[in-house]
Amino acid sequence: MSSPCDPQHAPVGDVGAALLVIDSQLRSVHSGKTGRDPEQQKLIDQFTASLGPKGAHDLLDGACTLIYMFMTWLRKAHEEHGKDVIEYVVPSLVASMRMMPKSVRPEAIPTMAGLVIAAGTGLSPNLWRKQYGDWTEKEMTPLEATAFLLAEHINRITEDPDFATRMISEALSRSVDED
Amino acid sequence: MLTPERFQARLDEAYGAMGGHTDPKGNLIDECHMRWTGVYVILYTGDEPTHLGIFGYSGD
Repeated sequence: MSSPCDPQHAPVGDVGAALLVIDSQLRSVHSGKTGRDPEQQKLIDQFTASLGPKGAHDLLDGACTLIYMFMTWLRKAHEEHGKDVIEYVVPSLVASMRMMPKSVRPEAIPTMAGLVIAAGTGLSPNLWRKQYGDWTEKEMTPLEATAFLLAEHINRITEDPDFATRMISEALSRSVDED
Repeated sequence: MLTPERFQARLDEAYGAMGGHTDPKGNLIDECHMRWTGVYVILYTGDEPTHLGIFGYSGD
């Protein structure tokens, strides 16, 4: 039986755009702000508003690809120490989400945990979620928060505030070179 | 290792037990009835994980 969540069949989406959004959040947090800089928020809003339906889907798929890549890195890092990534990452992720009720409504948390567990298991988060129907508007901010929290988790582990962004940027550069 | 077929059999047993079953902790479906708890089940085909199920309750 082949998996309906085989990552080989998952759309990659616009990873660069998704990374732009997440990196913007990371920079805001590291500069000590509670939210994005108003100017930066305006630029992000303009950017997302300029996306057509396909662009929006690509951004969404790109965010899922980020979650998959972050979890793949975290799984390998935990396996090197004989640890289970789901056991060590998911509970703290859920705890963080519970402290962000404005961005992540409680009802979105099981789905976000599912995305992360799927990715940590080597399954495609996009395709896992797709089995349950179309994405809803209310899931967009929690999805962004999930990718952000995973990036932040990686940056904290590596003690490098740019590690997660750099890892994806380098992977993107490599894929462009290969094309 | 839990395959989709074995999981379906367990689930059928659990649903069947709900009819006259009295022990609330006695079947798979009753594993997560508390808020903010959940379980995930990974199903394997051969050695490869192929399906993921999440069961649980958020705090809403």
